[in-house]
Amino acid sequence: MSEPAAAATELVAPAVAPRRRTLQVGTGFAAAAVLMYFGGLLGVYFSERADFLRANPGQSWIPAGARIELTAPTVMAWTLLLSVVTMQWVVHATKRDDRRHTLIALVVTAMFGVAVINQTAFQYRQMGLTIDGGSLAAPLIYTISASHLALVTVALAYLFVMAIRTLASPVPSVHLDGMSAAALLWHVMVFLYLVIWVGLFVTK
Amino acid sequence: MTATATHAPVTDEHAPVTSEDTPSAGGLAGLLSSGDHKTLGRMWILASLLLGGFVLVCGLLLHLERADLPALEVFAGIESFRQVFTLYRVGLIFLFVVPLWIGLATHLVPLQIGARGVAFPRAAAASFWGWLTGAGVLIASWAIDGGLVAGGEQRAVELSLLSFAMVVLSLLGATAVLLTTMCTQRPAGMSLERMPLFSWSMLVTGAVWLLSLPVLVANLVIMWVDLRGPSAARFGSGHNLFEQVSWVFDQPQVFVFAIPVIGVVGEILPVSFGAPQRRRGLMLSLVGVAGVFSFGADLQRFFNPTAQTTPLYVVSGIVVALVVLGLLGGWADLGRSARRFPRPSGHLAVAMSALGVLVFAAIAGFIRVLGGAVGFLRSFARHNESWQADLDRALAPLDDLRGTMAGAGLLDLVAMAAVLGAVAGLFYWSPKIFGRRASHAAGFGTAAILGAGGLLVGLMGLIAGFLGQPERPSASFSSAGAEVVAVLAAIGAIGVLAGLVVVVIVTLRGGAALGKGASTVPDPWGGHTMEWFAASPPPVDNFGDEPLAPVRSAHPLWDAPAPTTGERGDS
Repeated sequence: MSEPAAAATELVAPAVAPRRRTLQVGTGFAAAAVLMYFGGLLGVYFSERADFLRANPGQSWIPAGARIELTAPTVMAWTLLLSVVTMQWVVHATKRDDRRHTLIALVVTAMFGVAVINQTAFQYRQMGLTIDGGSLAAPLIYTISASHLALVTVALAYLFVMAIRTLASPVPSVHLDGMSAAALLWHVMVFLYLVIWVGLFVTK
Repeated sequence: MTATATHAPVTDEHAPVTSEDTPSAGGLAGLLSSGDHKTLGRMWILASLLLGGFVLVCGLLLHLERADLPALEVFAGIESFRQVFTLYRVGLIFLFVVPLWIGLATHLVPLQIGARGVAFPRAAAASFWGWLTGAGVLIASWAIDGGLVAGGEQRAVELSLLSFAMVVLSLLGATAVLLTTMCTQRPAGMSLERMPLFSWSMLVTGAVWLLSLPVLVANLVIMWVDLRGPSAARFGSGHNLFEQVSWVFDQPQVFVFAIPVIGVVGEILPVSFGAPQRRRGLMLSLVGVAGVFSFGADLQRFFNPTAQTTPLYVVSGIVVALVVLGLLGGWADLGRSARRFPRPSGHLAVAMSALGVLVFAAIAGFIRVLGGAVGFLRSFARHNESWQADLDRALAPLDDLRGTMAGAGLLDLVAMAAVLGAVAGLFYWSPKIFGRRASHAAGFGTAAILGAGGLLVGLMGLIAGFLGQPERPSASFSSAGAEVVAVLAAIGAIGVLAGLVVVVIVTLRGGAALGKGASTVPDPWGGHTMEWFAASPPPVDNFGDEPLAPVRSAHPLWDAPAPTTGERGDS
């Protein structure tokens, strides 16, 4: 260390601990990127749909032969809304070092996530929508819904990793940062599904 | 160290590891498994310089083809030309400019803000290796008849899309690591407004990258999904592939790749003048404004053909020009408080060269948006036919710039300003990066050759635009005088390549010296920011094992008692 450099530090007061919540901040940036990714997808979808309806008044944007039922997406929306509550239950229980409630809430939240993956698979079988170059809607609907499916999987994997770290620790609240970060990504995932639900399925 | 650091050791579970708890592997194993931000930064820099050489050769071939020399048939057909054209655009930004900035920032930003490392070392390493793998696959996919063009082999085109997405995602990962580091690893007292200008510019740039480049990934995924079907609906059609991503290489988005130039110049000038930057808050604000108006993900011509006549497009070009003007005024103000006249140095020469090219880029951007402003003026004059006719005559050359080589000229100017800026940083921070000062002669040579070459390439693009030469490769390609302009651009491209060779040699020699244990004085230039506090080269944990004391100003080292000349180095 050079003398002037060392002298510089003599002018100042004692150090304090650096900022924490590193995982939450990092996840926040990742979530912002995810939001912009879906913003790009939905922007293209709405733009193309508006152009199609303007050029083909009276025609359906959804190609003939395809069925977009509202039942499965609505059930998924409610499932995910419930998972928001259980996810916050996980964070609350972790904060209080309540290992039993943390485990119960984690299992319920994960079950909701797996249920959404299952329902999406069911919806794909039900839709009868094919990517064959005949429709602009098909590649866009599959891109958006499959991207969300991938996001659910990533959020579940993140939750799983944080659950292992938290439950394996003698003091679960030490890992509150990680669990809160997983919850942040989960909430963003749920918010995005609600936008997709309204944009793709309710308004078709 | 005599710091009055009395606090208990920090117990942040995600804090970067220190030298005491990191077993350091040497050789190739150490290189491959390293999570040290300095090692990663060097690898980013070297890899991007080497890939940049490849990309610049592609650019040279394009200029030679445009020159239409009788004895030189560069490409077999228009399809090959289009493939190399798209590879040059993609490579210039995503294999050269962006990774070069990330390399410099990965090495320097933790040092500048007083952090002991990056926030997620393993994620930082994964980003580098992911990018390098993606870059290799991307080039290979182009080589096997892929690329973002019509007529390519479908599976190779799919591979091009996926590898391009992988490259962008890896760059985003590295950006997120840098942003998290800047937000969470700053020591006490290092508030955002006290951050060094280079770190601040990377914060702004990184934020815009993080918000805009995911939209590019969305474009690529839509294209890929559409291409997977028996026949593409619209997005995966060969003729539409590059058009959907072209917004990244056009105004206003293109300017975001040059914002860190402001940071590098803003670091070098005050140190060269020996005076703190006056109106520093204003300078930081101008960088922020440049970032905000460089966001271009919403101005996609493919989905909105009138994007280049929207108010946002026009205003962004004007604002960027005004920002550059404001920054020039701020730096000119340094002369009033200067303690000394700047001593000529390699890094100062390259920084001035970068600033010069950036000014030309801002002017080019301003001229191009005037074409968009024509639409406004026409709408204002719609009730008066005589005014409309006059306007049409007066503004026709500007209106006609859309879709011409002027766009390529702007991209080249911005990219060259960015490369020069990063090289200036490489020379300035060479004591930290390589443990020795880069040769001043090499700096002067680089400033002259790379600067002149880059300027020539960019300006010739602009002139070709005024000559009406189309930006995209087409059968009716040449216009009167365009061949001469293309020959001059090719000469400029050769100059750029020669300059890059000098930089690569400096980097390789620096790396070799570092491998032999080179070290120099911590602060050879009399710098004022935290990185000059560390040894040259810095140890694994940057500042030794004791906690850093809080920072009290934007110039922590200048707040210390004046050092003697001998301690500062002899330069």
